[in-house]
Amino acid sequence: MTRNRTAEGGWLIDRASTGSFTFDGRRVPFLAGDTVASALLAAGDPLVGRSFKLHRPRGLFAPGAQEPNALVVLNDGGRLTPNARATTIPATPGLQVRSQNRWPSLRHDAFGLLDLARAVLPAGFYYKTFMWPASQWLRYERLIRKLAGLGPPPRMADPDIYARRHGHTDVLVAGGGPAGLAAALAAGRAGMDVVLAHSGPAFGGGLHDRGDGPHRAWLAETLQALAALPNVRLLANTTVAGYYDNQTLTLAERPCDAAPVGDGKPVERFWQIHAERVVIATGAHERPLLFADNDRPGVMLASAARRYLWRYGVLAGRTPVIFGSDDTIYELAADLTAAGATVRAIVDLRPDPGAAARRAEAAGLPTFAGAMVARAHGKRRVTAAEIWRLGPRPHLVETMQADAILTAGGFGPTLQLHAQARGALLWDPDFRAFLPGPPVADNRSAGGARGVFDLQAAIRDGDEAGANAPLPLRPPPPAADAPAPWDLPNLTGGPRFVDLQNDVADKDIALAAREGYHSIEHVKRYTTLGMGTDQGKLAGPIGLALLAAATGKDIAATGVTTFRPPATPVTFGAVAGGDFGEVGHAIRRTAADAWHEQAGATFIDAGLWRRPQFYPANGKTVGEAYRAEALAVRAGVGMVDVSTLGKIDVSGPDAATLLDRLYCNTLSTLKPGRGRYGLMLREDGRVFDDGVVFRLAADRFHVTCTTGGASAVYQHMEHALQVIWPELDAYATPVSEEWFAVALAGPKARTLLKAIAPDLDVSNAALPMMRLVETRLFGGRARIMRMSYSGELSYEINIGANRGAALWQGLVAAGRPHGLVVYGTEAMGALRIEKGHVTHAEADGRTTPADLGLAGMVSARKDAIGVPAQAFPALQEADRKQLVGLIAEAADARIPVGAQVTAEDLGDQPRPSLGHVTSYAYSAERGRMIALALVRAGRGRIGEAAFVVSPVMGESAAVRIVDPVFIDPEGERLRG
Amino acid sequence: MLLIPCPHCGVRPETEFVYGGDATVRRPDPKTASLDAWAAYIYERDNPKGPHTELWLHASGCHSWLVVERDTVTHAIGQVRQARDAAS
Repeated sequence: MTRNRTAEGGWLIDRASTGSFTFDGRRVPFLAGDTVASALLAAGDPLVGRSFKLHRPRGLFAPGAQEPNALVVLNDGGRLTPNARATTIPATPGLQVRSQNRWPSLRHDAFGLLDLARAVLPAGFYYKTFMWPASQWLRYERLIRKLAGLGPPPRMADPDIYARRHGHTDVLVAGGGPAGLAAALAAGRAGMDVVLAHSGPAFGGGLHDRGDGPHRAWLAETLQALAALPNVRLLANTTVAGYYDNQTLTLAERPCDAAPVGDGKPVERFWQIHAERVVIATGAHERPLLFADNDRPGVMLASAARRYLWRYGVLAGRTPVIFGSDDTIYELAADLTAAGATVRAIVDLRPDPGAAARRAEAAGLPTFAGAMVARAHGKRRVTAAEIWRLGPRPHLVETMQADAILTAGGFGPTLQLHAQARGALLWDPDFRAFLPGPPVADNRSAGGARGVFDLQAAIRDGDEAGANAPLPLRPPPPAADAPAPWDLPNLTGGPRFVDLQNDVADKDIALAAREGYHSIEHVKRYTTLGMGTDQGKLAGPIGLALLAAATGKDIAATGVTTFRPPATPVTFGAVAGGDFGEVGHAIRRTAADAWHEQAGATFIDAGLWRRPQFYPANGKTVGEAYRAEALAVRAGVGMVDVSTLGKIDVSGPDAATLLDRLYCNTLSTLKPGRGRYGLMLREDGRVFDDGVVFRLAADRFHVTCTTGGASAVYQHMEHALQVIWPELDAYATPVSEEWFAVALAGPKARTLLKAIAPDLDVSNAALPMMRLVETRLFGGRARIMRMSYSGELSYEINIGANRGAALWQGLVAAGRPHGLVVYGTEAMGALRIEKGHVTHAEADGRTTPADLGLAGMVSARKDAIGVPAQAFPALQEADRKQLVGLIAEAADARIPVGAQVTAEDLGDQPRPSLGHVTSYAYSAERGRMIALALVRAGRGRIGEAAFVVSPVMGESAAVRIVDPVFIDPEGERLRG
Repeated sequence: MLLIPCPHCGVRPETEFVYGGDATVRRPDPKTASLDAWAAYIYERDNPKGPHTELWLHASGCHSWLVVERDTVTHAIGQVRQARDAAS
């Protein structure tokens, strides 16, 4: 099964250590050090996938992460990884590999018929065909996704561990090839902290893609010297994915590649590194060559063939044709011949190739000068190459039997990181490539990434980059005495693919240009050129050159598409790290959380807190439970954990002045021990937050705010104190977590309070509304505040958080004889809606005090944030939305979720919206659904009939617009 | 990722901070300001290309509001002061 493995050699493999993995269920043997790709190629079949759109058979093509064809699915279940590039995945025992985008099998793909329809599937086909009727788009999309898809997503939770690390370094070197190694060594020897990241398992890069020589010794010595430097960190299997502002880079490391998966170590680690300086040594990519059917399995970049031979001892073909425009094709021919291949032809675009060609000819290799491979024969793999002579009258010379066509189209620097760091790309006509322009950030490209392709020169360049030497001039360009890859004529007809992954051919680009797409960014989106996982690393320059030719512009003027991170694909697992599931965010628990849990509470998130939403013991469904809980409050006594409410201690000689400026109503007139409802505005006049403020002493206040607003209110206070009025001598201290808080509510609340505080005078005279007393309860300091959110007689008790559980449990025990019911946020919401209290559903950042019926709270006698803006004409318009109540006309009517308020019932035609429902609940007291709503000029509509409608749900109900206070408008209950 | 040198806490990443906008605007005098002046204070901000003086709250740190000189093109951070000191 390993018919393409050479007899000896392979720098990265260990012939003594073997294993096997499966590819589409078939066993594939490998040698330790193989990639999935090299093992598949050794087994003899280059067919690895089907193309994205046309389902054409595709084979291994490129040497590394830029591989466009060999996308495979790894593993199964939770460990399933789609779209992995077989060229970068180490072969490990038992690994499951599947081809993708084929059905039912890779060899017999039913959708392969699409290729016959190629003529009618031009660029933009899907855009043009499936636009109308718009209502059918969802149906089309399902079909298209089946046809044109990448690998399937995993459908189970990933059992593996993903880690994240942050780091700082003096120098980050991206790329562990010759230039990168030299740079790391120079910087390390200069005493810098260095991180050297290399995408593969073996540092050395291109040094492993050639035969023996002095560079092997250099590599060994350099690796030894680097290992001896404690200030150099070597990260193998690590891709530098993103280069962001201020020298922040992200790296994706696969630390466990060689180890069995899931032994407790992370399978991937995502680094965020701040580097003072970056050396970009990511090398160069070889350009593909354009000829008809240049996508057949067996057509491969010469650089890939060289890599398979020298790293893994694998022949890209036993009878290859080699096609290119420089002397490297003769070297490759000699190397492959020595390794046992029969090179059928060397096809050189140059009319006069020189000494290397003559030597090859003398050695008996058939050479063709001034010629090109114009077409590949074969379907599931190359069977022959048509060799044509170029010149005034191009003609077919020979159809050469071959099992591979290896193309050498010259190299262009990898530019991703340089461009991500906002460096310009300069078109160099001599290089026929973009070169990195002067860097904008603190980085420098070195070696192949800068166009220095010669090995010795690249090492020197890396050494200088590591030592931070001044950037030298443009490197010498390679000889260009042959047509550029994009200038090759199409002599035979047939598709010439530019972007193999997305099936974009040269004709598609010409068509896009004819249809008026002249910007490369538009052409990219219209044709999908460069939009695959390889992100146009191979297709980009050629597509650009073809567009330039089609539009009559030069390449420099055509420009490039934006380079965005990641430079190579990164898995979601790596980015998410440990931040998912239950530990995705911190959970704040109140002191009574364990009790709630034991009582079977259903929890709901409130900011970072979790709060009991309802207790299923009180009713089977949320609806049943909250109605029972709310009814119990109105009839007897209920208790709710309100610890999550924000609490801020404001103190200092100017504390009262500060609060007067923060709240639109006056708080400085409060006497110690008394409290007042306060309304806080934003400077633009909208309601920001609200809460009750108690004065503890002349220079000290206890401020409460909403659960969700707690942190923003505190920031707002610090802004006032530090930025707007730094002269004020006052201090704000957030104390939300210091206190456990519980509200007792209901006609029997006083009885219960008395039961737990027998020595305290809790009579209406001693503890009236908005009064605070301090006492000791259950071994802790406590504050009892008479205030009401539910509209009932109510007390809020605050106690040090460490005594919270004791207070809660003490209340539960003391409440038993009084029929105490514990309630959650759902019942709390129903109670406040009945009372017409607003929350952030009503104070939604757009409403003013006047909109909410609170205009009377705005004091004009003092300066306060948001008060001057009340005079803006826009805030005084007559048809602003105003807070009103809605009550269902029918006892069994439902108010739909997200309902709009209209004058007419839901019908076939859209109705103009008068406003929207903000909160709704079932009112036990009124025996039907009620709601709060914001309605245009709503206060003037009180008494009118209206409808609440939801076109989305197809539901509606008849309601009456009423005052937003549904119970006890005079407040007799809460004052009694 | 910006690195902001907090006068209290040292050099810290941007994720610890909350942006507070232009630090040079001043709240108008409520005794004398026109509605136009209030509208300008509330709504009108320049979007300069280059040096910018701006507020940052060290929310995951010491809770200081800082006045930070930042270049909106290069993101280079210049002088950093406490807002309380900058106002005086």
